[in-house]
Amino acid sequence: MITAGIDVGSLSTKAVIVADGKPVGSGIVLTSPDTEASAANSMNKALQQSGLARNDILHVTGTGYGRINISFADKTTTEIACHAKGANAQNGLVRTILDMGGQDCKAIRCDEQGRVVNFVMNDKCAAGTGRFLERIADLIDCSLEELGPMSLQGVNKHLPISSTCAVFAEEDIRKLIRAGEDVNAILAGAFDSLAIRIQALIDRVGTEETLCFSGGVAKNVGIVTRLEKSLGLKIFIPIDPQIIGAFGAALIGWESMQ
Amino acid sequence: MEEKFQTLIHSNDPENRNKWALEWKEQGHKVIGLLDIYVPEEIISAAGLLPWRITGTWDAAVPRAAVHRPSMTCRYCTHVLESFMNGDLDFVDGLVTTQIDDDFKRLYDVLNYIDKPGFLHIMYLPHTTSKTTLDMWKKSVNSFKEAIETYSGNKIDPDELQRQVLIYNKMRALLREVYELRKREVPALTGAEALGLTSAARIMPRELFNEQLEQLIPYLNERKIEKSDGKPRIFMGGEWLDHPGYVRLVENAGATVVMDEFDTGSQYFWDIVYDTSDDLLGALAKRYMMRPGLSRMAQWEMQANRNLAWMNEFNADGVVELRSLYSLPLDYRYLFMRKIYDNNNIFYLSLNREYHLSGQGMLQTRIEAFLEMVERKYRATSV
Amino acid sequence: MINVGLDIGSQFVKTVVLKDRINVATCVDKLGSGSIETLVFDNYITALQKAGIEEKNVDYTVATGIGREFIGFADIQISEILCSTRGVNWLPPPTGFFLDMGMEKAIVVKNHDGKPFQSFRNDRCASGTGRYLDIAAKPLGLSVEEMGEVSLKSTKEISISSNCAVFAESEIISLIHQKEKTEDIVRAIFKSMASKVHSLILKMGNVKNLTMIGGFAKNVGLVKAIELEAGCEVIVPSIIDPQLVTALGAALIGSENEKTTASL
Repeated sequence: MITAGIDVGSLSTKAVIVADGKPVGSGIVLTSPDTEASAANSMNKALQQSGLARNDILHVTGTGYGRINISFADKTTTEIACHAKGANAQNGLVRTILDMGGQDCKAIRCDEQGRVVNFVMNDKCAAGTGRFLERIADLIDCSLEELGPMSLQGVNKHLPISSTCAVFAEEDIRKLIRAGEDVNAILAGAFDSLAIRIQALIDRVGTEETLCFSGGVAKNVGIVTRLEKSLGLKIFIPIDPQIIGAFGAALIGWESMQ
Repeated sequence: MEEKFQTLIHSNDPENRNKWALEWKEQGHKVIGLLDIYVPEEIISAAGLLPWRITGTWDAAVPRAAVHRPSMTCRYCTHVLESFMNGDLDFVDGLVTTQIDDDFKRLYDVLNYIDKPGFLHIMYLPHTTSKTTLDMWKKSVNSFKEAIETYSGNKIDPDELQRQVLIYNKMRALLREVYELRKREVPALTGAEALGLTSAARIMPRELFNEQLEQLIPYLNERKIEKSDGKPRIFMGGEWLDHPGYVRLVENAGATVVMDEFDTGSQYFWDIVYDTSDDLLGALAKRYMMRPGLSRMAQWEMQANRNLAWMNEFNADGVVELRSLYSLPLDYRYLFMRKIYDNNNIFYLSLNREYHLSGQGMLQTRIEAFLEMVERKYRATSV
Repeated sequence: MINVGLDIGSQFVKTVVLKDRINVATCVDKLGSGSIETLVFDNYITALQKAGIEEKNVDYTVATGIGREFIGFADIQISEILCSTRGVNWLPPPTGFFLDMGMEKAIVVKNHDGKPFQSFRNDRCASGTGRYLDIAAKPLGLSVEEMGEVSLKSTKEISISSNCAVFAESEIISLIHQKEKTEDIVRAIFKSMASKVHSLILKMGNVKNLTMIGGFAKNVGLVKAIELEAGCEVIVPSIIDPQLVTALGAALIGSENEKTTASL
């Protein structure tokens, strides 16, 4: 039984194809203003990778911001349920999920079968989302991947960077760059205040091991290191953290067909 | 009959809203604007004036109000001020409010300053309920009665006041009757429709509303809403929520909203005026102040108990509360309610919202995720 | 007499060179990462080269803008509001009020003979400043400059209900997913910004016409939206790039400085 999950996020669209509960192909594209096309493109990429044809897929589950636009989806589910399912399927010990995507940040608690027991999402602010990190990378004129290691090299000078508003945090960083402060130190300060915000979010649902970190930001070693320190435990990062949502969506679709 | 019902529940839509107030004025009478559910409306009606609940502008832009009010304060007050300043409420002759909190006090001050509307009165409402504070409130009610008498130029006839109490009690009973129909497995009306109904009551002569609703009751008895199968039953919380779009949002996310604790909904009519034998004003004062009310009243245990009882009676599976941004009393009560609901194993989602309809995308995702959680329990227990 | 005005903003550095109070050269550069003083100095030298003037012949240099403290080679640093008012006062036609919208500010000033008499700024927030446009443009895949022309094609009025720039971005993404047209979304963005500007104008009192300066004045769609919301005429300077008016004012103030006039 082959099912597919499509996660239309604000930055990227991901598709995963699952055969009897096991992933057999995936595809990622950047989300364009035409979200329907993005969904179709990501699906095609996944089909190519898996060597399957479109009518091999018996059920498509859509999730993410753009889920209402996927005309070929049989059902839609929130990304909260999908991330919990996907993370727990990758590692059966997962009971807490931290997902930081392009636009938002969520902390989810789940049971042994990956079903959502509690969740909380960022309510007021985008500080600590993929978008925010993208803008920092632009400002400093380096790639997203370099941000993490740089932040770990910076000695913490306790530079003042707002932790309440993404826009203000960016202004603060701009001013520090202008003032000639060391870029690594700036990143260290920015990531420190980011980690505090994320920890506060996680605290609202509490942590039960194992904690899984998913979403694009999970690739950022600067954030991961700081969180492991403040949580006092090792964080599980899936091999491909970006596709957890789409994977979970495909699994939820598969389970619904049983 | 369905058409009649739809017309009634859309009375407070922006294009219909002012109709009855304007008709009332054409007959040579005056309109008194209200904001909260604590001002004793029977007294206004007994003086020959129309008590008319003010809905603020539903537009996002409030540039005029921004001149007098900081942005991070009660949005309902700001939107009401905007409506006064842009001319939308020029036909309103007066406004009476209680000092719900500092924001309402500030709104009253600004209206005084800009001299709109003509008649302004603020009532002191205590925060706690006891014999002492009830006596203080009775004094407030008395001053209010005198102020209305001075403004209207008529002394209020006790018999007329008694008559109004009966009219209002009848309105309350009728609305209660309709709400009872939401206890059914398939409710007779949706949450958005119920909000529309209560909003309608507050913007027209109450006798007229009673007439119209009474005619609809037999029809509503047979009515069933569509597609409520398999959907979790939700109890909604929130204050100063008058935009049905927010209730529709919850229902579109996959729920049936069976009950609410809105000031704009159940709390407006739930308790009647009792024991009017020898002290009518006292009975009025008691009804308005002592019942379990808004979060600005320090009776949170009473309010929590009321909610739990309602959830039981209406068979609700969970609570979705949409708190108005920067409205502090409810933000504080949220922490208290969270403990109570946790202890009673009740699913509880509490989110911030703007006053006007906004942020639907983000709200919908969170509510849907919440309902996915609640649904599993619903399916498990509904077998 | 050679006077130079340097306006160092959050995104751009602008230089205006005056020879005997006539504008002979200008230069605008985008600020990137790297030493700000070096970048500004390079921009300054480029402007002088364009005018055919050697650095040693410059009589007086005034630095303004939020980055002015870093410019050690300037003779003096003066606040933006003084420079922008001076610059606006020099422009025809005369108006009593102006709006200066930059990346991080939106300020409405009442002008009394070239001196600021009263002013109102955006209240703590990015909404109503250029930053809002910057953030909103991303999901649409447009540059801020392109947005102006695009909005003129709009046929449908939609509203953006979020006041916060960050939430507005989410809302714009939702609108895109709901298949709303780009031009209609852009118009809604401009309307939202215009409403914040309207608020500032209301605080000022009765304003019939208003000069607009700063880079965003070149944005046709935004200017139109402000005119519509605030119900007043918005005049965008034509004899000089609106983005350069503050630097011009800085140079003018420099030309009135005693040190300069003493050398005549």
